[in-house]
Amino acid sequence: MSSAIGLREVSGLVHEQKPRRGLLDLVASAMVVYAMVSATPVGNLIVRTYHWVTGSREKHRPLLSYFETEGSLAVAHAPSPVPDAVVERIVEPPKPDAPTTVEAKKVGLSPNLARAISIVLSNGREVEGHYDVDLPAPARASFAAVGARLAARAASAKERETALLEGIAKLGQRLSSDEAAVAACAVELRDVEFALARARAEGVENPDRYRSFRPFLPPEHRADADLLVDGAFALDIAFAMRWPVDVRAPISSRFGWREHPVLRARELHTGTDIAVGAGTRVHAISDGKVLYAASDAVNGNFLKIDHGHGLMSAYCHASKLEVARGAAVRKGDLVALSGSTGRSTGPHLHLQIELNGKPVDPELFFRFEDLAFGAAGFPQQSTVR
Amino acid sequence: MTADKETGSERRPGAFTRFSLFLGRLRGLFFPLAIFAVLSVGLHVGSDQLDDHLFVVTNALDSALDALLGAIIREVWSWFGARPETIDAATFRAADFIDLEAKVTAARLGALAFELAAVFVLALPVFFYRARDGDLRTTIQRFARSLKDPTILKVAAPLGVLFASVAGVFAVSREIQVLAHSLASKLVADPAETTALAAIGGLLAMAIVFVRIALPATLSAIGYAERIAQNEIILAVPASRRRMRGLFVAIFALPLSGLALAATPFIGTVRALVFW
Repeated sequence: MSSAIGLREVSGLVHEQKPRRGLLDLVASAMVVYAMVSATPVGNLIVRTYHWVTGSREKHRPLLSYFETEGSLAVAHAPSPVPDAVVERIVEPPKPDAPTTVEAKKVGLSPNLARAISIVLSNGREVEGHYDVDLPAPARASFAAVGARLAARAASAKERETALLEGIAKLGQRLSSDEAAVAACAVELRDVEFALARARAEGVENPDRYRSFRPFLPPEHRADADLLVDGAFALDIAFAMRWPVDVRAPISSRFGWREHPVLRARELHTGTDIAVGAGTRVHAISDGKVLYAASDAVNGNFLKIDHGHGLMSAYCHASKLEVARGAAVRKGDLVALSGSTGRSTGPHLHLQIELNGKPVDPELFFRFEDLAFGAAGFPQQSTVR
Repeated sequence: MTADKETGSERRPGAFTRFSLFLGRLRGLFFPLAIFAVLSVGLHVGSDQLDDHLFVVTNALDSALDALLGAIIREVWSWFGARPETIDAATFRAADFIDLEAKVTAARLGALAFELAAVFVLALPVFFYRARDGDLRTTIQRFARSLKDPTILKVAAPLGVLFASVAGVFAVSREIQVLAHSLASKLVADPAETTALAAIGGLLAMAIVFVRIALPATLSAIGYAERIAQNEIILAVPASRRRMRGLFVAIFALPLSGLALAATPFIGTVRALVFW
């Protein structure tokens, strides 16, 4: 009688006298070594050592980048997905009659997202009011897979932009996720569908969000997808932000180089100072998670909110913080009361917006006549600029 | 050779079996590397969590440093009768001494250093494991016996290896599933089939790596710790020093592997693989 094969036999844990088979062990070993080399700093060090010994010159991922996978701390070292020149040229959110807005509405796409993805894929170049988009190869494959129109490279900027927006809209309908639709412009559709389905099946929180399904994208395409998705959605979120206080409050100091009122030295003013009295209610400019609620000698009591995709906002010199670290906030939520704590000459709110760890001018993203703080009782008018 | 049960004669094994037996003889060359790899993957899952905790610590340290420097500067400048604006300016510059980027970098460097230390004390010794340490029955019996004369290593090494290797199994399964999908999509046109192949790949990876690497690694760790303790008894190492053996494993590797295990999505991963 032959006995049933148990776990001990399968795992090779029996005290053996006979020679042991090794094929399964080799397969298992190959898998774990592959995972170690592709996903750990130790694997990176081993590969570096190998290249050093063999004298081959290879580019290696920085060791600290292995801690950038998920979570908000990633942004401090991530490359900016939006080129500086593009950020400097953004003056305001899309106007209702802008060509991109009109095309976006035709295909049922959010005008903010349409403008954001067009900016990123055109590097901000405009031709006759349309973004001069250049479609990456994976985007062409994904568009073809959903039967979207493909504009020839020689077609006009208008045709190419229209084709892009139609393609994104079709991908969005197919995938039920705008972030996945944009990711499918950097990674082929079938890989995005797999990653999305895998994240949904695993039951992760918000599986349709890029950060949730990113770990299931092919490793070699993740960096491209990061640049495209984070770039587009950071702008998309930024275009939809709300002013944190009453729009009638005057701006006392704008973003840019200035002479510091206390230090009497020329320095980059990394945000916008809004003159509001002590105790004024300060609201979150967009949905996000409180990264820190802390205090130091420079910023006084301050909050930093992570809005995702490398976009953060900071609210400094508060007299009181109304939310704690880790709290989830919605756009318009009360987060602090203004004050004059830290390096400050009088009560004001220092609003700072950072894109991938780099401060950008907050005023670039707001169009004051569209601000609607109905619930907070703020009037819809433009008196600031 | 295998025995034919009916005739009693011996049959020559097939080419596949011979190849597998040949690989079995080479097992000693690649198997320690496999255990090292699975532990490295698992420990990295833990250090990825540690990074966030260290960031909170660096923030707290920075705040404390700001307060200390501010107090010193105010005190020292006041001896010379400096004006309040001058004192403020000096204090503000001191508070800028450590910026956000420096804190994030410090947290990541700390996590990396901790991970490397854990790999050094937990994963590197696998190259001293013995194949026969993996004998299930005798190892468990030996483990039960050995706890009558416990050392830190006897507890910390098996637990650390178990936690880190289980976390590693799940991380490897995820990587293999993605890789399998990537490969399958080049060979098979139907997305449903590629998805199924990827799920099968992930499940197989999980099962094979757990059974063939994680489990033997844990038992080998028990045997290794026991052998170290026995050797030290033979060498007449004082009991107090012998009991402290494995302190660094307990300090570096055990917390990291515990964090890794806590961060491992057991149910989610299994659900994603089985109920696709």
